[in-house]
Amino acid sequence: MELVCPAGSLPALRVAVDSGADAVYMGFKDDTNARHFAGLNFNDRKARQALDYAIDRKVKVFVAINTYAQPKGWKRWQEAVDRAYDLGVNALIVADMGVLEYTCNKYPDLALHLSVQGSATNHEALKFYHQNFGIRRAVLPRVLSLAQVKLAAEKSPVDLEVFGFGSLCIMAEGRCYLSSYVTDESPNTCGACSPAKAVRWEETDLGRESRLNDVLIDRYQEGENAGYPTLCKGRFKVDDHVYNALEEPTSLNTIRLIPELSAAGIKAIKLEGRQRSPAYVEQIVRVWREALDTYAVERDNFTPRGEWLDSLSKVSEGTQTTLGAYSRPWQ
Amino acid sequence: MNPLIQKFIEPVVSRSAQACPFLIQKIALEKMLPQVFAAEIEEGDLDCLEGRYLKVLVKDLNIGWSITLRNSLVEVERADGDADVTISGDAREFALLVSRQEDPDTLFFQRRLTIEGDTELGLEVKNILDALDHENLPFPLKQLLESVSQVSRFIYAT
Ligand code: SF4
Repeated sequence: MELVCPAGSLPALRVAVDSGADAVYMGFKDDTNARHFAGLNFNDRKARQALDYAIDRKVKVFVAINTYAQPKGWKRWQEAVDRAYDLGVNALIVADMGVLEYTCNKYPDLALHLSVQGSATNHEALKFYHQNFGIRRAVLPRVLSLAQVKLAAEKSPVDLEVFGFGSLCIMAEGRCYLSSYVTDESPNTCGACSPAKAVRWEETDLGRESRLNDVLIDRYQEGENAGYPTLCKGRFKVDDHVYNALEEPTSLNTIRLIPELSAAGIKAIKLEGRQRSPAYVEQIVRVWREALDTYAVERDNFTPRGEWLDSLSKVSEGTQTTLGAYSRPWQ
Repeated sequence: MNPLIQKFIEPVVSRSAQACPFLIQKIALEKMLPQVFAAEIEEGDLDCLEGRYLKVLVKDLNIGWSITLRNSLVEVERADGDADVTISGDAREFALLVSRQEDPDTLFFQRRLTIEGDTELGLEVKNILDALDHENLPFPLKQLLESVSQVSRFIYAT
């Protein structure tokens, strides 16, 4: 299975390449990608350097243009596609049908991957994107159980990529408007869930409080790990109970499932975290490289090493890792 | 962590940091920072700090600075005034962060670092720090960074 790794900056890209990535994915410095944060991502010059570095070392580069084009900014999405083509990237990761159509008409030889934001959960949806836009690969949403992943893989007309590790955003990828509800901006429309300008952290006598556009999202007590200030991961009072009513701040970790994912015919594993630092990228890529290499040798006898799981949970959001929806038998 | 060595080294670092007059810290930082961030200042990446204050507080050493940019020139002031965003933590956390041994989000999740005030400005500075090309730094600074990294690996190795 191909290891697809995040790069939010040139140093992150270099360590991903040096630590064993088969492919890296990155975005440009605007709202055409779902990690649109100030100071992150690549301008033209950095993108060129990134491409050169990766290609020299035979590592593929994918560019995420995976937000939904807004009527006012359509030109920006077109330009992002043109720029990626001119750079000579290996594939684009796209969600929006308008962007998909523009790309497959103008650059029929440029490989298209359907972004997780496209939210294709079954083989009929995959067939649709394949027939209409000629996608070659799709990233499956993190809402699927392992049984559902297997089912989709059985009849999929395209290669499939799944998330292996990272912060969870599993409510309804490509359809989540929780962030819009509080801040007027969401990943699909503006490239950021909980945009930083709406976030306030405050140390108070009651603990560390996080607020999103003045709405209290959570209050962490001494010794409690904090998470990203997204609405889905906040603690709310429901019927006098205060708890993570929607989702807990955890990270997905599917190292244990490597054999099953491989048997299901999954072609690539994606690691999340373009917003994270080079230190994080180095740690997770190194562990996953070792895990995949070990699996290639041990096959049936594969068991995840304790130290892999330790170093992954150290850098996790909430410092807790789960199998996420993969393990939900009821689905 | 190596508690014994830490016990010896920390008070030394702490005392010398505190004993170093602010004016000298200011001169040193105002000389060093523009070199470290030369490309970023040149390309306007750091424009977010034009006229806005980033306060850095090293809690255990009891030192701190307010940093701003005025017409693309770095200015360092005492940390007693108001700032747009304040990042605070112990020396260890900053050493690990600058030498890229720990991920800032991890430090933040574990509450070893605190960001208060304008989160967007704080995030932008963090991202610029992450994107900083250590390869391109002038040689003495690269050496300095390497020493911070080695020393912190030595003292704080877990
Ligand atoms: S609110 Fe949660 S589920 Fe929705 S986009 Fe943000 S992180 Fe994802």
